[in-house]
Amino acid sequence: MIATFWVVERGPWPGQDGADVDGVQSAADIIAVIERRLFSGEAAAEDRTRYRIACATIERAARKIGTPVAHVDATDLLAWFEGQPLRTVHTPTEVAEFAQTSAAALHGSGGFGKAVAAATRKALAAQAGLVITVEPSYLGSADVVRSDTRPPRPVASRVVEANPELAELLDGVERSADDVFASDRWRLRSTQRLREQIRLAVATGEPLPIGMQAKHEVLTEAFRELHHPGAPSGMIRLLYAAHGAESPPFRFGPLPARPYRGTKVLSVGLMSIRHTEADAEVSGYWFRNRLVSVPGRSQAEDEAYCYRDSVPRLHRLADEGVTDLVVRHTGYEPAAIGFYRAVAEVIRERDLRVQPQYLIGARGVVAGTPWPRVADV
Amino acid sequence: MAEHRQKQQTLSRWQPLTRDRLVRTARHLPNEQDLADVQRQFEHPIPDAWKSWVLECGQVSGFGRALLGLRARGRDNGDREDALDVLMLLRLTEPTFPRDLLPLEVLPDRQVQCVVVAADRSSKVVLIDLDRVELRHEAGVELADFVYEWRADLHAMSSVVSEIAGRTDSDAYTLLRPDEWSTRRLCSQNVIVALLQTRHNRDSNERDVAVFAVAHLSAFAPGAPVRWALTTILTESYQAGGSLAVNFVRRSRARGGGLGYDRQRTEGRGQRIPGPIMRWAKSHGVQLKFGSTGWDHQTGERLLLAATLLPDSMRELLPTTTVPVATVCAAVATGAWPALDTEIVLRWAEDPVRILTGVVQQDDRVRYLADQHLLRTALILSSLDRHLRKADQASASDEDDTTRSLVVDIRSTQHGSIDVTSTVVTFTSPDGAPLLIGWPVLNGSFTPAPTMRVSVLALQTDLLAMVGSDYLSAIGPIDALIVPADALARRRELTEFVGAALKTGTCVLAAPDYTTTMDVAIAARLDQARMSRQ
Repeated sequence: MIATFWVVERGPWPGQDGADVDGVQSAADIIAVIERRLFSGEAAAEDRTRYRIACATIERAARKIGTPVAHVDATDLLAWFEGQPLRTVHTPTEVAEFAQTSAAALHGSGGFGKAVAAATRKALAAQAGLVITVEPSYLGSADVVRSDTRPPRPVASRVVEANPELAELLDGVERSADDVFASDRWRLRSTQRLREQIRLAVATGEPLPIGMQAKHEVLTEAFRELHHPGAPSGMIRLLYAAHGAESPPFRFGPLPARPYRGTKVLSVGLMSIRHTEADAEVSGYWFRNRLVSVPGRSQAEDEAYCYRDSVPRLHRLADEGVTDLVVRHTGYEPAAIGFYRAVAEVIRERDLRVQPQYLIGARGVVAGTPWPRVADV
Repeated sequence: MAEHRQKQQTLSRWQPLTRDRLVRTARHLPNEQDLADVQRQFEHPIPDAWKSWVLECGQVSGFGRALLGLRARGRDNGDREDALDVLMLLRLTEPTFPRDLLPLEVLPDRQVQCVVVAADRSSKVVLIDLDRVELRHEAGVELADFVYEWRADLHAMSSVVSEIAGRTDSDAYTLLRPDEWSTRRLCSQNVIVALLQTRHNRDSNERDVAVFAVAHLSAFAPGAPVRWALTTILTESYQAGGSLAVNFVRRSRARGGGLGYDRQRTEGRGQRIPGPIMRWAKSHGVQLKFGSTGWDHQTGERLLLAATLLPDSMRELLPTTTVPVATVCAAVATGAWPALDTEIVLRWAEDPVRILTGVVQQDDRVRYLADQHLLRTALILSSLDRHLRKADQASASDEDDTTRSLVVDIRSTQHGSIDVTSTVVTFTSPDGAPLLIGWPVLNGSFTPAPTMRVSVLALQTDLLAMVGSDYLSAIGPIDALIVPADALARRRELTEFVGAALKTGTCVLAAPDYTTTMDVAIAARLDQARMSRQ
């Protein structure tokens, strides 16, 4: 397959004057709206259909009114963009961002990356939109730029290298999960197995499979151990085994110590609907189930949604003076990982403590290790 | 003394049966005189295994089923018919009933399980249909195996009934998680083909099976119930994201002595791989260890490969690809991907797993477009395949069972710069009959022949007008070039392309589907594939 880059100067694009003969302007408006919905997790199945039709409209228009500026091998392009979505429509205001993204993704691809960079420069110079179309390769293939090499890994995981030394350091990390799951043989065994898997993932640079063995509370506690004051810093690749989808690497490292205040406490459940018996005991739910468990989305994308959704809301809580957030777990590993990914990021700079609570069989509600722990101070 | 010891050892094989609380044995057992009455009906000696069984158990029954056995004549033993009664009745009313069969169990729909009385004195058990007595389906290599499996079937039914009886109203509204025991039956019309009780074991990341019972009816293709049940278990293992390793286990009763079963717990003790699976696996070239309580992932993969209905070309292809066997088999077995489409994806796609698991979202548009183009071609070729197979019938609906045989060769090599999705595919009729296709022809007419070399250009009309002529000069002579139905509505734009095709002697056929309808179908199929693993 061949990917053709088209510079489309006057669609007209949104904000430009002129008759929208080819439907570019209205299609671009639709794409913008649906991309916002996709980002917020509110896109319905119909939205995806409309998105597909709108993109096809602009791609057809590009072939009609645009100027081809580069023909590259689509398979090579996709290999360099592995693990990162690649849109076909970039409005004039989005081209600069695409130039940056593509430069990062194609870093190390030599002439191939230069061809794409030249195409984006032409679009930038003309303040035009950039549209990529995909055609079968019986178009005259002579001027098609190909890449001699292919990257070994998806874009997001290229930053994670095999690190056996770091894996060894993880052995010395404080094992707080053992206190939380004391006398629960199944969870202790599961935690120990997960620790070994984490060590292997760090040592080899291969992804840690999520979702098949360790449950959300075990994952939360094992990841919490990686944030103790004595823990080393690093990253782990995460792969959601059910969908085979890899999410961005999980960063870990010691969390800064903070004095305990506990002046304003908020109690929430992690995800609505899943444990309605807890409704009376919490002030509300952090995630709406409908927005997390969206049909047609991989678990890695669910996790990304939970992370994106949580970061600004945690900041807002800190702004409101909330010092302690008690979170009752309700299951679903992507939601838990996305949430604590955001927690680990936000509490580095904000005065906020998150106290997990797990519902464990006959033991009832069990308090997990707080992020950060009081004893960390 | 030695003879006595040997007799004791032989008899001890039936002890589990006599001690089983679910199975009732006769109060009064037959004697040698009763056996002699039966022996007089046969030319060859009755198998020793059958004799020892009736001497120890007489007649057995349980859970609505009964093995005929032999009753003690002249004693008050109820009025249940035994093997001799049924044998005499069958010989009287069914003149074609074979002379070497001794009835063991009478089943509905004129099916009878019988012990073969042959010169070799083995106690082989067969299932026959009284309307087609010449066909014998093996039901057990020897009587001991058959009785063991019969007893296991009773326990399976008892277990399922106890579970259902123990359910509360709220259970009916609770969606089971993969790691909770689920009980289900596989049915074909009004016949229960198999009973299964399975769960994903989160601790071992493997599949646990507590109940595996299949029906043996002569109307089924040999081994079909086992194949179906096995495919169900293994595809569920795949979809639960676990390995294909399976363990056969016993479950514990609910704590507190309730009627139902504990949703989570099993006893540590396993149970043997059911005999029907052992026999089916052996006949399909997969050796399972006798007495084993399960199999590992690699064996599970081999079983799933054997159980999935794949064309020979796919079986040859699979070992040469890096695509996991389980992914392909689960895609075909669940019906998410027809076999021909799957083979096209495997042979032509740069990343087949990406397509078969539907991981690409529509907002990852460049990747999606590449996959969509390949799938449009696959849909058109599948449609052509279906129409050619049903060409002499009223419709090409999948509900029509009978199809003509057809050989599809998609192994042709790529032609230089021609895109792989336009590789020439050959359809051949093995019986030499011409291949009929009623699709509209854009230029001239189509002459049916026993072999048809076709290529597909699954493009919108504007692209087709742009590249069609270049393509024709590169591909060389073929019988038909297939384009989407879009071309019918916009023929004027394709005048040059259609004229060029006429010059090269290539017939341009319009498929029934438009690119837009194909794209909708592709989106739905990718969504289904994407969500099939939970």
